[in-house]
This record gives sequence, structure tokens and C-alpha cells, in this order.
Amino acid sequence: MKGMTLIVKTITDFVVGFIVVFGAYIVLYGHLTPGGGFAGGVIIACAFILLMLAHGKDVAYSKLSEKAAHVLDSAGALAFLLIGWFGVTAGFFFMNTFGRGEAFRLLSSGMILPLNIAIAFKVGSSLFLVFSALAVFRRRSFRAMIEDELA
Amino acid sequence: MVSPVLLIVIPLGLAFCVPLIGMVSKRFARFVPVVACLFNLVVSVQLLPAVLSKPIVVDLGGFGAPFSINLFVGPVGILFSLLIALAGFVVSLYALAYIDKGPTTRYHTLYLLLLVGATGVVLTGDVFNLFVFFEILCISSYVLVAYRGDKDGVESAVKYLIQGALGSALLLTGIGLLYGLFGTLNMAHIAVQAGSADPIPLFVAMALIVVGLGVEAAIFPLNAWLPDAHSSAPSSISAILSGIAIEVGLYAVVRMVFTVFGASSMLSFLMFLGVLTLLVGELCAFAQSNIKRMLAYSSIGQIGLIIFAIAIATSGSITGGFFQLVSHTLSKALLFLAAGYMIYRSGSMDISSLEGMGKRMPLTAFAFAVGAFSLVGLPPFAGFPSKLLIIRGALADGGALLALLVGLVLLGTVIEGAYFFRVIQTVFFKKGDGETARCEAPAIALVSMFVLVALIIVIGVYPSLIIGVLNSAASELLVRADYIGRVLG
Repeated sequence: MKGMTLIVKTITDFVVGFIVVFGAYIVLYGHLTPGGGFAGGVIIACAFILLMLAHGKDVAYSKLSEKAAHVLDSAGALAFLLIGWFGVTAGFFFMNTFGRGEAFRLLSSGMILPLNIAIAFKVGSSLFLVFSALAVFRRRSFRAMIEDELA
Repeated sequence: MVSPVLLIVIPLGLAFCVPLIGMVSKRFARFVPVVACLFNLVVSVQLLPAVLSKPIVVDLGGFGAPFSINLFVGPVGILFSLLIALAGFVVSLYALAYIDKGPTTRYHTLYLLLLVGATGVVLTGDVFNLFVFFEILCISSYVLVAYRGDKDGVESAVKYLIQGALGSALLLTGIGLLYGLFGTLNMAHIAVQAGSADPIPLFVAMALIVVGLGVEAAIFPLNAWLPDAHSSAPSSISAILSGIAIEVGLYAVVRMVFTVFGASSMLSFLMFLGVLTLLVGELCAFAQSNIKRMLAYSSIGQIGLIIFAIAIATSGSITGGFFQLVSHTLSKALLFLAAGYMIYRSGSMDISSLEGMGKRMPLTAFAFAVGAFSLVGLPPFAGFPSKLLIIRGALADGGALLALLVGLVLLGTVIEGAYFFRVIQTVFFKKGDGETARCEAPAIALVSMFVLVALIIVIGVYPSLIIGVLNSAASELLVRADYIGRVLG
């Protein structure tokens, strides 16, 4: 059986959804309460990392494949730059030109919310990729070490 | 007029497009850096006349300095961004043929990020923003050094990572201290208040920042990582690290010392450090039998010379220092690019294995010779007017101490001549015992080398082409009040 014990797997399956929802909350309310795109993105990435730790990489990749993570990574960064570029239409890069909305409501503060979402995609997917790269690298270098010993 | 923000935004955007394009076609992705660098080159050239008549200050977010991050595109900034775009363009052409194995999409992404970091450092007017771009530059170069994934590459990348991270930590601590002292991160705003601040905390902050940046600028004794990193990276990356990355570190040190702190008492110390760096670099280079290590040590020597020239802090010597910087970027990039294919063909980095290369790959060997002669300072190459200007600038002041230091600098140049001529002799006049069949570098690599050859000769014959830019760059560094006035208005 790949991954950790049944207990860990069951609990993981139970909490993963909640972690993602909590992460999404931190992202979406970043402009109203403490948090934001980076923190929320890290929390969302943690959900996938937990899946990888508990079930092994195959299950984690079935939820978020490496390729999809790469796409989200680049797309998040590009979206961030594009939103920043909208400010140029009003004269300055990153100028907050979007409608401000009503204060203390979800749809307020103009471009901060979209920027937070873009950052969340970027940070979440990169962190997941960093973790999976480290896991793969460690296994690979361990195997190389053993092969060196045998040779 | 185009906004200078584009110099950072377009390459950054394209860098993130590379992985997406690479998923569709790997062969197509390698053209993205060429396009990005060409774009930066065109925009920089377009901005040049406007910048020379009046520096452009760009506020981001529209709050106005010192509340928002601003870009300061003065003569120094545009000079560096031109150099970065030019070297980046030439090296990305070379890499089209040279980088054919391994994770190529990642190479191109990181390569573009490295150039974005470098451009950001030279254009920003905010200390923390400088730190961020500096980290982008450093982290992408750590990875690129280990690109081949062999033992040497990984080992030197880890060495570089440890020293670089230590440097960044010191830099960040220094910036934190500055923020605590002044409550602002805007360079001009700090510069205004630096004169009236408590000198001891200010000195501590400056020492931390200069040491932190000095690691990347390879100032002796902070340069232990450089020979390993530059010699085990792929040659195209060595060219960029030697031609761009350490110069950008140097820019950051100079900008901090001259503009932000206005620390004229620090300059004589930097002058000695420059000469020491020069002598250590040249002497170590002389002792090398590995060609890339020799070139790497020679970069340390050149950086020492540039620091020496700039630290004399007269208009003539700073012009000479910037001229030397331009000629070093062009010549050292050319040397690494030419050496890259000679090593590739001979299969070894030993200087003795390059015997007979003058017959086997005459064009590449010719390009190598031009780079070497220019670096030594022979006319009619770009290195000649630059060294002449430095020596004239240093002697114009007249002091006996400066004359002594100039003597040491000339000694360094003689040593430099000795080891470069030794290589030239090996390449052209010794007969290799191995193959004699012609095996020239690929056409695209030759094109990129000969662009540099042409530039070196043109600048060497007509130094007046760039003297105007260099003079305004020198006065931007010397007239601090002008910088402050432009930003804070």
C-alpha cells in the first residue's frame, strides 16, 4: 500500500476539502481581513501537499497534475502582470483603476481582489511544484547514492 | 514615448510565457528570449535621447515618490539596460544552437528572469525593490549554474547559493536598519535624510549593504564563489554571469555609496579594495590551467579595475570606469562564447587541449583573440580607450598615492597580457597532435560572436560614439542633488 496508514489517509480525505475552502476564504477576503493571496495560496498548496504525503504522488497528481500546476503557475503570474497593466490606461502601472465598490464588502478595493486571486494561483501551484520537485529529487538522489554504493 | 516600465514588464511576461509555449513546441520556446532582448534593445535605444536630455522618473501606482515605488531611468540606468539587452540578445542567439540538451524550456525561463532581475536592479529607485530584483537575479543564476546537473555544477551552485544567500541576508538586514532609521525605502528620500542621521547606525547599515552586494559584485575577499560558478556553468551562462551579473552587483554598490549614502569617506577604502581585487584576480588567473577558470579570475581582476576607476570619483575616471565596464561586458562575453565552442570541440577545459584550434576553428579562434586583445587593452579594440581614460583620469588628480596605485594597475594589466598571450600562442601557434579537420562553430553562434567583434572594433576606433552617454552617467553619480531633485521634485 502506497502512502501512510489508513488512519492518516481517512483523516486527510476528511480535512483536505476544508483546507481548500479555508484557503479560498483567506484569498477572497484578503483585502478585508488579515491574509491575502500569498497566505491563501500557501494554505491551498498545503492541501495538495498533504494529499501527496498521505497517499503518495499518484493520488496528488490525479487531483492536480504537474502540467496543470505549471500552467496555473505561469497563468497566475501573467494575470498579475496583465491586471497591473490595466493601470496604465489611467496613467500609471499598477494604478488602481477598477471600481472601488462599497467599503467592507467582498467586491470592493478595485484591483486588489483580482491581484490576490492571481497571486494565490501563482503561489499555490509553485509551492506544490517545489514540494514535488524536492520529493522527486530526494528519491532520485537516494537511488543514485545506493547505485554508487553497489558499483 | 514608450514607458520604461515595459523594459521590465515585457521580458517578465515573456519569461512566464516560455513554459506555456514550451508545452506546445519546445523548438519555438527558445526564440522567446531573443524576442524579449530585441524588444528591450529597441526600447532602450528609443529612450536614450530623451533620457540624456532629462532623466525619466516613473511612479508606479500613481501615488508619487516617496510613497510609491519609482523607477529612475537616468543615463546610468539606460546605459546598463542597453548593455543588458545587448549582451542578453547576443547570448540568447548563441544559446539557440548551444543549449540543445537538458530542460531547455526551464533554461530559457530562468535566463529571461535573470535579465529581468538585472534590468530591474539598474532601473529601480527603491531600496527594497532593488533587493527583490537582486534576489530574482541571484536565484536564477544559482539554478542556471547547476543547469547541466553534473557534480561540478551542483557543487559550485551550492557554494554560490550559500555565499549569495548570506550576502542577501546581510543586505536585507542593512535595508531593515535603513527603514528603521528613516522610515522610508525610497533612495532619494533616504539620500535627503542621510546627511543629518546618527553616523554610527548609518555606517552599520552601509557596511551591511555594501558587504551584501559585494558578494554578487565579487569584490575581494567576497569572491570565493565566482571561479567555480563561472567555470562550471554552461558557457552561455558564464558569459552572462561575467558580462552582466557581477556588473549589476557593482552598479548596486556604486549607487548605494554614491547616491544613497553620499559616503565620500568610503571611496578611498573602495579604491584600495579595487586595486587589491585587481591584483588578486590577475595573479590567480595567471596560475590557472583551466581556460574558463582563467577567464573567471580575469573577471575578478576587471571588476577590481572598474571599482578603482569609479572610486577615484572624478568625472574623467568615472567615465573611464564605465567605459571599461562596457568593454569588459563585450569582451568577456565574447571570450566565454568563443571558449564555449572551443571547449565543446576539444572536449576539455585545459588550455593545453586548445592547441591547434587556430587551424581547426579559425573564425572562433579569431573572435577569441579579438576579445583577449580588447581585454588586455590593445588598440584598436574597445579596451584601449577605456584603460587610457582610466589612467588619464587617475593621474589628472596628481597625488603620489594615486600614481603608485596606477603603477599597480599597470602591473595587473601586464600580468593580464601575459596569460592571454599564452592562450593565444597555444591556440594559434602550437600544433595539436590530434585532428586537424575544420570544425567551425555553428553559423548562429558565429553570428553572435561577430556582432560582439564588430562592436568591440567600432567602439575601439570611434570611442566618441559612447563617450557622451558615459559622461552623463558620470555626472549622474557625482551630482547627487540632481538625482534627489528629479525624484522628489
